[in-house]
Amino acid sequence: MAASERGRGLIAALALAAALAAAPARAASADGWESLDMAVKAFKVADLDGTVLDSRSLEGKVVVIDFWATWCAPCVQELPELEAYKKRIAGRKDLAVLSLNVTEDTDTVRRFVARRSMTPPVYLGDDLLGPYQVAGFPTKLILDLRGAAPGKVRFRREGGPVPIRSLEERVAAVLARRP
Amino acid sequence: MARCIGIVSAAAWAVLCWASAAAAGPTGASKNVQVELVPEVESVQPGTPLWVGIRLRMAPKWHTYWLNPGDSGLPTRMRWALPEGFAAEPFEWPTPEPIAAPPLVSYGYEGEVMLLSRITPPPTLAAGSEVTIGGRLDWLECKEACLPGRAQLDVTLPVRDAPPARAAAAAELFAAARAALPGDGASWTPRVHVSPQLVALSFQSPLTPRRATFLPETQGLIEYAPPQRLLRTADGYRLEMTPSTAPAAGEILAGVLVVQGEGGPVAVRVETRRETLTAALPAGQPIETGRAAEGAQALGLPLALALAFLGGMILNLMPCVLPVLSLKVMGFVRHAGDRGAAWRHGLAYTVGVLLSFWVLAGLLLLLRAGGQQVGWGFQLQSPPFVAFLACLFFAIGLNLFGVFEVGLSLTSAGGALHARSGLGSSLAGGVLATIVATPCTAPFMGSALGFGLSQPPAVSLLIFSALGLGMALPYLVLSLSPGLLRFVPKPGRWMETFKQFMGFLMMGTVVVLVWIFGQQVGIDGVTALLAGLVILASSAWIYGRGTAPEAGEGQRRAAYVLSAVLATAGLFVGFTRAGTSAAPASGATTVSGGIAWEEWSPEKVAAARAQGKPVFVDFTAAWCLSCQVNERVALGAAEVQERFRREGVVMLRADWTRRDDAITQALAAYGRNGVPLYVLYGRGKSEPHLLPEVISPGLVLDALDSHL
Repeated sequence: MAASERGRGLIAALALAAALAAAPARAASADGWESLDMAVKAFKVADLDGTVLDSRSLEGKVVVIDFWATWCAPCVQELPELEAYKKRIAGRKDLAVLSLNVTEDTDTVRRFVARRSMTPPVYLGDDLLGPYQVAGFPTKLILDLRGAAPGKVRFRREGGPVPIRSLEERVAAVLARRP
Repeated sequence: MARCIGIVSAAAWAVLCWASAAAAGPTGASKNVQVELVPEVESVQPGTPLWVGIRLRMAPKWHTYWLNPGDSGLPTRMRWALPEGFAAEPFEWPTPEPIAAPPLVSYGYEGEVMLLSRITPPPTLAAGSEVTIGGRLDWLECKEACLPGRAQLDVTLPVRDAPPARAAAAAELFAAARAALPGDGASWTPRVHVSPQLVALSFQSPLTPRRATFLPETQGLIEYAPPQRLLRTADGYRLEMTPSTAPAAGEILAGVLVVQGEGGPVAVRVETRRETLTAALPAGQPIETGRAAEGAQALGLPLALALAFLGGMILNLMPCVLPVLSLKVMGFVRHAGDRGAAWRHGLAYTVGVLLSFWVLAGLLLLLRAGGQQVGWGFQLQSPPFVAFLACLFFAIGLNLFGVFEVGLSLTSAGGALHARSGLGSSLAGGVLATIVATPCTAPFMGSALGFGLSQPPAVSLLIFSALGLGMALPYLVLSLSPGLLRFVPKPGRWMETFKQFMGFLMMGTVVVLVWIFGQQVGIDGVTALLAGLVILASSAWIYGRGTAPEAGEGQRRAAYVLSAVLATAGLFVGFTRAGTSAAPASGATTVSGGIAWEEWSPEKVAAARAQGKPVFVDFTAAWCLSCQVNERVALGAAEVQERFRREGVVMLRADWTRRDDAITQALAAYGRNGVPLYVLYGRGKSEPHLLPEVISPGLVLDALDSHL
């Protein structure tokens, strides 16, 4: 098990190093968001009950991804505001928020989710760390999955707690760019 | 440690830590942390243990975590890869510091830290060879973001058969690291009692603690964010903490107890078996916490007594006491001719003041010992008491107007002015003066009272006595010195006019009291109280008519009965709404005096300070006249408001009109026990600046100049 993990880790690390080498230079603006124009890589993530979500089922939406962990204080600090935001946009056909825990096991996350009354689903997002070059937490991505095209990562922000207004503005900007 | 290994998947960590997967050596680095493996010795002797240090140097404001990271975080850990036969012991952790990220509190290190580990080589090691000691270090570095870090660290040392020489370069590092380790707390005889409501750590301490913090080594014992309360008990000290909402601690409880004594903080590691709390713990006297409290403690008893005395004298000049004092002056006018009578009255007045201060202090101490959060002026937080005061002052006012006269048999507090008044009325005058003094805080009083209430009851009583003596002193001196009495005008017809004029002052006081009452219970309560006052007035009028010299015996009796019935009815009507409470305007922004105040909460203060904004907190109460005056005169001044706006100061108001335990605790943390209190946090400053009890526009502007 340990050997295979190490193997996976090494492969992922190499992949990430390669991806980083190819990544264009980025600059964050005053509110901490960077503008990107990176192709979305299709992904599948499982929630705490094992139900798998395929990114292709989100076609047509703007998707906010939040990478977080219970050991990350700035992530935990901003969770209540993010929860409120999720509730506000519930029912919107053009918008979704994915909560992706990283590095932790199902039981730890399940206990935390229950204690903090987080709204499910919460996904286990380790597999996305490499492809999206995430090394600090919290990190948020705003994806535009329009039409049949693979879609683009439009914005990215590392660090928290994030001012929810700035998140809403960036989401609005992505929606406004649509035809 | 198990927690960390259990929850972080090695694969994910490897992905995260790709950047530090550099070649091994004694040093490594991530974006914000430099790490180094430091051996204490220059060579290894077979079988002789040696110490190595893991040195972490953090970029400014970045931190790494302790063994128990608190609410959020991960401990630094080393996965040793040692040659055959070597054994490494777990880290010795220097005392961490609490790191607040509201509402979370973590335990960790900023700046620099060195974790120590003892490594024992096998006795069979061959001299003349070399050994490589090292492993993989994993840590979490956080500021606004958290980044997992990893480095492969190792050092190679020669094996010699001689006792190893110390590495000179490392000596200082190891000395500093050892000094930062908590001491052994076994002699402090720690005991931990746990109940669903309370975790209590009892201990003895060779120093006199002003403040204590317990940092448990394991999760699931306490909540980290709530304040820990230190009490002095008969046989030592007790620290009371909030139990974890997810209890998971084992039978053996260990942690670091940090105690602030006279000579700075002392940290000891305590370890004890958990005990279930079955019976009540012995009573304890709370020790106020907070930095400012330390300042107050540093006052020392003599200075605190002097301040209390001075504050008591100045209290006479505060707007609350003046109306009553004018009555007192009248008393002197009357007795000025008779020196013996004068000093007896002065003494009676002093006794009255002292007695009521003692009663007040006793009540305060009793309530506080019972766990109630109360402070100076607490009785005015009770609407029935305010209503009672309004009725009393109204009755005194009517008496001064001459609506009714009171005989000796009914000597009331207001009888101080009556021609036939005796020593009792002078005593009552002292009581009354104290009662009406409580809405005011004079300069110097705040820190003296804050000090007094953090001390054992005897010292508290001393402070209160000094305050009372200070307040009574001017009259005592006046009554004892015939020279001064010569300046008092002769009694005459002018006294009747003066008496009636005083009646208007009393009515003015009633208006203030009704306003306070209205803040507490709302407009319906005010209406009921005013109706009650009207009925009281009719009672007084009937009494006055019935007891007039020309009234017959029958009329007199009827007047007694009717006025008693009406007085009861008046009080009944006036108090009908005294039990209700107007809904506080929670969370609202209130605009007063041209400033948009936000409702105070500790979280808001922390949040604003975390964003580097300056913060001004106004601790106030409707019944606190000093507060009202300060708010209008100093904070209401145009240039002060303009300055607050320009500097972007976050304006918070903590309203203590009703009882509020959070505010009482916050006051205690600043070493105070009453309002007004003005606290200014400059940009990025960790120490608050406290303004005096009486402020002027210039004083506020100066404070902004030097402390923003």
